[in-house]
Amino acid sequence: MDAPGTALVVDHDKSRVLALAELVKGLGFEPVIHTTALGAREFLHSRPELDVILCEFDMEGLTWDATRRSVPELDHQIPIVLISDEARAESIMRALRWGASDFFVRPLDDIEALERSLERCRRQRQVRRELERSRKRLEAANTELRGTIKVLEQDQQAGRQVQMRMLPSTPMVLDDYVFSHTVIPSLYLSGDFTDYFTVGDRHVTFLMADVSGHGSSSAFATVLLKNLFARKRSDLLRKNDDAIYSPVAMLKQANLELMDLEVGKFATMVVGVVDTQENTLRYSVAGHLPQPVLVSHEGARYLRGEGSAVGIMADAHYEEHLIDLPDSFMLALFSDGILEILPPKNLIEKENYFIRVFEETADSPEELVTRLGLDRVETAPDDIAALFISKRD
Amino acid sequence: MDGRILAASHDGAYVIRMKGDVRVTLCTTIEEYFHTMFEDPEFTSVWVDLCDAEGIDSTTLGLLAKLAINVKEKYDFQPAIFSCEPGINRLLKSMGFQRLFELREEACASPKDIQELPQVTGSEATVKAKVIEAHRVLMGLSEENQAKFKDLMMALERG
Repeated sequence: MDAPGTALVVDHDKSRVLALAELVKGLGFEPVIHTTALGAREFLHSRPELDVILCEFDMEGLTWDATRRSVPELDHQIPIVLISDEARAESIMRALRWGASDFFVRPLDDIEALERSLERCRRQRQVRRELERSRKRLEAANTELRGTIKVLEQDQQAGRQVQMRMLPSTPMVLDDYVFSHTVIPSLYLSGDFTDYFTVGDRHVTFLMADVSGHGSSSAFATVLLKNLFARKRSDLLRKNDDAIYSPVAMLKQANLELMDLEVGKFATMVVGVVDTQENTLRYSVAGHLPQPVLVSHEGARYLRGEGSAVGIMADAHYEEHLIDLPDSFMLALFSDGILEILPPKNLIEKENYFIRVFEETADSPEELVTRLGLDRVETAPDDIAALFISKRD
Repeated sequence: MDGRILAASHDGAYVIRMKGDVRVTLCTTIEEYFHTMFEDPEFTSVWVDLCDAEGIDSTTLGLLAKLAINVKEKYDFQPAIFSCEPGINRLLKSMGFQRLFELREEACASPKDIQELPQVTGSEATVKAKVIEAHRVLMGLSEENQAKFKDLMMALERG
């Protein structure tokens, strides 16, 4: 059963208005009576909850043209039923053009028609109210969502701060060697990570990792990797475990730990160990693209190496490469985000383009960053991390 | 071109077709499909068609790797990947996918020449023939006749 509706009944003729109110009441509406146009208008300004307005067509002090301009401004959208003594077609047409929902002629003997008309008005109002309620609910939900997003953004920013602090100091100068890095995350949190640190008095272990996906879960995986390398570094001293000197051993360990995490995250990685005394590099690649680029006076070349990404299959195997480094060189490692911003379309062309940039650029990381447009990237489609190792003789 | 992942099956032979630049942010639909596929008592083979793929993001690669590992564990065979775009092949090999899948690099242009397809081991010659036939049917589904294919990339999965 619907709640009874409310009807505003307006007529300057007191006896008519009372009769109409009585009639409306009989049809299940609560009548509110006004006998002046001014009173009715003020009443409407107070935004009452009405289902329908029944109004005398030739109401004293009321010109419909003016009312049409003022009533819509109230934005009430309350259906109006007009009542008149005369059934002039022209009046009826005018009333309907003004937006009246129905027109009745006295005597009101077809009560059923009036009842149907009022019922229609009430249903219309109910639909409007329901819409209004839905709109309010949506707005509330929207506000709540915005709040939640705000909280998430704050979390992401906090995570970002932590992640930035996990990165090594840049540049790290070690005799003739310089290690530096730059990370451009596409979101607040990045699945890209790089690290380098001295091991003993002559080695530096470094890594570049690109964890699949984005956001917190990828970022947590970078924390795990950072922690693994730090742990293995201390295991060298405490347990005589020399995995930290072996890129393959480190990749195998990283593979196990990511598999154990069971979050469906995997990472492509490059791990390397520089021996600063011998000027050699021992490295291993786990599915990482682009491959490391070595630039020297002989030109630029990719350091080849294949192997599965870590965190995909339990029995992954990795190759270890040992190379003599030139007296003066720059080694550059990028995460695959860099490939996204290179002009060519397919991967092989991108790789060729990338190596050409190195061929044509003097070997300073700053110049490279400019040449690749990294200093102009506002938000990259994917995270971009870069690690540079250079040596001057 | 926006990426799409389409899937269809015929007599227990499944095909996953990727087109365009495939980037997955949410992969629930795809994972559900794989789950249903493994529940199918008729399941005999699955292959991945990358002939029209322009790019594949890391999440999608992860999904494919998981698919291959599951197939190997449950049915003891390596699914095939058909792909002849050098860039895509380079990507697959750099990730070590040749250890998870049978890479068929030359088959895109001429699926008619396919004589062998990895499938559930121990199946009879008739099953083999059926798989090859299903493969032809599915490879031959024209653009207009894609009704058999289910689009696994929902609008909300567009990253």
